[in-house]
Amino acid sequence: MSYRVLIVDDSPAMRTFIRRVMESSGFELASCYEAGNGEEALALLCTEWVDVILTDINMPVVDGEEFLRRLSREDLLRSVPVVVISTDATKHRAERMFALGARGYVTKPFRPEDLRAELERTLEAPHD
Amino acid sequence: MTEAELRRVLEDSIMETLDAMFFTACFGAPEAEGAPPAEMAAEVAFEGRPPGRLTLRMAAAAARSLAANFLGEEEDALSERQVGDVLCELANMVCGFVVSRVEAGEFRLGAPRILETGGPRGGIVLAVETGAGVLEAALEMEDPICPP
Repeated sequence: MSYRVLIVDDSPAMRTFIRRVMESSGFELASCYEAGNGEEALALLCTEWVDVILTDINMPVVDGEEFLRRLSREDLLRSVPVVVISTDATKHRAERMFALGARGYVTKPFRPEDLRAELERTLEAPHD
Repeated sequence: MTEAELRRVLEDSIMETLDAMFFTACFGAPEAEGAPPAEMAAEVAFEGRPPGRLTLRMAAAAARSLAANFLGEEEDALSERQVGDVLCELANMVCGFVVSRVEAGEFRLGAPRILETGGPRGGIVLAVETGAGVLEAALEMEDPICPP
């Protein structure tokens, strides 16, 4: 199965890396969209449907927390699974992101297989 | 947290980040004494308890080699901006790894930035030999404390 993916990160290098490791680890991408912050992501989601969103937390304009809050207010978008990818390895941060609706959490640095495993777990998990 | 413990966390952070995401090994302290040529430097400041900043320095050729590994591109195909973006991201990840294990509460990383000069060499300074060249990290914190 192939997926439509949105990567949200203010670092172009990190967006490239995430896309590359997804492809190299055998994750089939039907489409891969990129956004530099939550605001750009929300604008893109007005016109493009995706199967999963991978987002950083610490971004300018609209950060990852606010992005999740806004997603949760959108009837059509709140069902899209979100995996957070962050340098913040603290438990309280992960818990807060899950409370805001994230379904997965990957801490940087990560190995390609870690990202793939979390994506598969997130996409296969039942949800509302 | 003692200086020795902080140094260990910083070393672990560099080794794990380079191994997992740059597919580059670390070989411990460099054989040659002294700082690497400070041709490129990136800094990340952080707010929290305590606040501080982390600076990475390395030769431009070494930074280009690491960037090529990270992006999966040939070194010659990379622009200066791409190399700088990758060095900033490396600093971001190393800093996030360290402060996640050192800070007593919530923290916030600033946006990583390339320094026009070589940057400071204060605080805890650690140099490691990587497969790409010598990487030097400087971690400055105000009164490091243990998490509760």
